[in-house]
Amino acid sequence: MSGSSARFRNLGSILKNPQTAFWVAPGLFLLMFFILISMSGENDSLSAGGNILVHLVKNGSVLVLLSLGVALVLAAGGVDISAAGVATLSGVVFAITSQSLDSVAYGIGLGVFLSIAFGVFSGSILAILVRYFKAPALIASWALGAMWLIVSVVLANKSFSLPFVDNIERNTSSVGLGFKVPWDFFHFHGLGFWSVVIFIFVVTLLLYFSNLPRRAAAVGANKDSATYAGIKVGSITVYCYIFSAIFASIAGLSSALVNGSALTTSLAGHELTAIAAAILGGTAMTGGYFRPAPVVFAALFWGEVTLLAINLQLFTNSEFQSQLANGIYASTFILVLMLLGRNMSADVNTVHSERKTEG
Amino acid sequence: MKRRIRNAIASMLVGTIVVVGISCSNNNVEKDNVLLLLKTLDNPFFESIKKGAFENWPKDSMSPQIVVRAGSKESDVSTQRQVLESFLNQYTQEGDGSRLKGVILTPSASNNELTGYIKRLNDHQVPVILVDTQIAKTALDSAGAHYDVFIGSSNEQGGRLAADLIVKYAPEGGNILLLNGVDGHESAIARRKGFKDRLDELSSNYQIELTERTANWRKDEARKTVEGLLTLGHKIDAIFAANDEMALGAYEAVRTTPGAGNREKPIIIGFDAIDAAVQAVKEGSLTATIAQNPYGMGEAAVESLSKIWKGEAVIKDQIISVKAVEKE
Repeated sequence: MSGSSARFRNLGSILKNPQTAFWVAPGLFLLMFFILISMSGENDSLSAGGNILVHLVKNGSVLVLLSLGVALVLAAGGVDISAAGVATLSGVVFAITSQSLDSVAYGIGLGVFLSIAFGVFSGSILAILVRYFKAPALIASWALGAMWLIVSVVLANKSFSLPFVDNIERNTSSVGLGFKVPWDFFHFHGLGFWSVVIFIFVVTLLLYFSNLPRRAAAVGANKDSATYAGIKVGSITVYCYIFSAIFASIAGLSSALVNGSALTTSLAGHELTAIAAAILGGTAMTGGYFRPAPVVFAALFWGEVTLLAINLQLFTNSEFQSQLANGIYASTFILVLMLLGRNMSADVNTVHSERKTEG
Repeated sequence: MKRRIRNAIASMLVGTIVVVGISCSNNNVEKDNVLLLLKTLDNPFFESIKKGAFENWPKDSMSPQIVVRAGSKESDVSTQRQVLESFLNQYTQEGDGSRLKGVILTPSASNNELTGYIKRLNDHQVPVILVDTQIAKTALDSAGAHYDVFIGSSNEQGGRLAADLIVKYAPEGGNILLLNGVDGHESAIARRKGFKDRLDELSSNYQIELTERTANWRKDEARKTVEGLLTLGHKIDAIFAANDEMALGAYEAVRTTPGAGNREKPIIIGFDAIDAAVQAVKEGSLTATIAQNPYGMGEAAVESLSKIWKGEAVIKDQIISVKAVEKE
């Protein structure tokens, strides 16, 4: 318990010091949130804020989960770009299973179990490849992710026969769910909204108070020092990859529920956005620093940027223009915060300044 | 010992890939081939074109075999370029003896992205059948390329029909959202033009405020876009989506965005009449969709190719009329 109380005190110190990387992403999130409320056509700000939160939770939960997993691996000095492939295949497995049993409840339960089990399986394969076979993490994770995407498309193809399963709704772009998601599932009073919020809150707290992220950061900062300090570098690396894949598989479930079906290509490319959100949330690209809460806010900030781009009249007539617009809006807000004196990345100075504050 | 096991596994993997690759390529090179190159199989519309081509393909052993390739999404022109390059290198040669007997293509781009490859196909006397989407005449002329047959719907007529349907179901006018396809696609341009031109013609008696967005033909993007607009309080009375995938995504957004229960459901018109959209029209989720007959396009492409092989006359531009599918 002394470790936890120390971390409570440390958290208080970090929160008091606005110069740390901790405050960048929450600052961006809040700034953009108030701007979106002011743009809303709703007369009541509270209700406008509620609608925006619902939209962010519903559409941002996938990126939040992917970012948390990717950030944990980055902190340990690795990289994982298989997250989108894991999420896609997990969603497809969930959708197929939900359709294939007579009981919807059993179908959903089995689907959740298989999806998470698949996450553990995929994370383990990647961990073994990287840790024991010394495969370059970037290449190994890219290949694994691509493989899972191909498997997703094969499973979604109607002409591919699935054992024990007949006549389920699928085509190469999507696999339908075995149940219709209620229209208010992700509303403010809906089970889906609060399930996602509570899950992300609990995961963030667990990540903050558990030893894994700190040990991962120690490994990422300096493997040799971590070994001498008694940290099992190999085990920590394996756990990070497994947790990243578990988060990705849960993100796939979330995406399937939000879209009403598991889509086979919509998540491709999201792994890079997840890495960007992790970096914006203060995670060090070279390893050694990770705080879960700013990563969550950074991912939600990206959702806000997308919402802003949809509603502004400018640059929405083509995919290229939309991507350009997102980049311009995000860069503008980040520049504003830089001018206000915020540290943008968890470099050595930032970590040291945070440690001074914690001391 | 560990190193030996690792080396053995690596060798087996490489060997398997080489054997599979050789066996696949050997099967194709010795036979005559026709390439059916689609934008994507990610959309039931193109699946129907493929089905129409396959089910009407000549079954005799002397006919070429049909090989299907597709991009990952409708705007994936780079995959189409790579496939055409690969087939040109593998199956064509100077003089007689080319194994590529035809290309049926739904172009992912309508300007000069693919005209160079079409010119090379022309140089090797490979018939080129364009389906669904045209390539701009200026682009073809500047590359010195030509197509043998184009089979498609009048997308502009479909856009005009969609505007008439919106006026029919929302006679009071109001806020209309136009969801476009990929910028630069001929079908997206034509549907948008037809829709906007018809609304302009009716503007003296019909008051509207038109908002345009692109969702790149994708259901999830359409859902996010419409949801984003509704979240910040935009009022939408009618939606015309340039394809059914986007229309279904728009419906999902309308159904699930907060405030849905208090809001009057907008009119939603789609385009393509895929099975899911026709079912949605019957259920009342969508108001109507515009039917094109993609199966018929695939069938007509095969018939045209057969006529070209036999030296018979063939109509160069075959335009198929569109019609509205509404709830009876």
